[in-house]
Amino acid sequence: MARKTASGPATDPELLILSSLAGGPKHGYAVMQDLATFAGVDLGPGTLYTAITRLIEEKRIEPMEARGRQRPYRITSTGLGHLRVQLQEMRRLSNFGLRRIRAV
Amino acid sequence: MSLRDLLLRTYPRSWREEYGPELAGILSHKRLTPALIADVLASSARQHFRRHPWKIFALCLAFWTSALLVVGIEGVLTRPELLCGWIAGQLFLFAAGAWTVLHENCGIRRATIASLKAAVVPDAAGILVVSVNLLRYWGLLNPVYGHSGYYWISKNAVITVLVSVVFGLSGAALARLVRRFRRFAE
Repeated sequence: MARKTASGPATDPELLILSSLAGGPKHGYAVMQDLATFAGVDLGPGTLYTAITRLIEEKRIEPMEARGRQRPYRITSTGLGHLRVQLQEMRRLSNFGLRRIRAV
Repeated sequence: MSLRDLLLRTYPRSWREEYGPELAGILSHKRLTPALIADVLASSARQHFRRHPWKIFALCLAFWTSALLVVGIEGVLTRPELLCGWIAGQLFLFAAGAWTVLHENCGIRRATIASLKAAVVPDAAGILVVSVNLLRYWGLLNPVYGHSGYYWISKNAVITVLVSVVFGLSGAALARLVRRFRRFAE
């Protein structure tokens, strides 16, 4: 599971990885560091690679040529489409929730 | 061998060949806390079950066989409710063989090995329980259960393994027939 460090939402690891890779190709360790910076989430290495394996199987990300022990991954057009839909859904939910809070 | 190497070795070999070096690189940068170890172990268990689904059945059966043998296999064959449980265990094996063929779309050799493993893993667990019971019988541990059936169990452990293998293989063979029939129908 994604663990929350300081602040920010602990959420779906696959969505977090897609969000990170939307900013450009990264290897596993760089994804972890990126997530800690932009989402405040300390993703465990086991969780990270379980999610990466699944994302590759679903053709949402793809591995690039390895550089030493590190192999960068990039988001595919399928992954980008999936991320867009999920984020729009989250925004819709978030707007709805905020409207309800304001009404209280 | 370091703890990091041991953690990596908990993953299936095929997964390790693909992602092992990357994960090793990340682990070398991290402090091994209990949370991190639990995270890696949970991930490796998921990879085992994703890549080799028969292991789910094998694990269920390992617990099941152990539980039944703790009760006593002599009782299993004489008490109807326990006999039903034993038959359910064999049906698990049958399903393991069939599912392996259908899920992994593999050939007869791989399916045979998979169903053999699914049969042997729980029986190995069962044999362990029997051994503990024998130790009890010989007075090395406190006897908790009656020991009339223990010699009978050890004598028939081989038969138990063979019966399990037959069920697993039957499932695999049936699934192959189903697959061939599907192809023929298409």
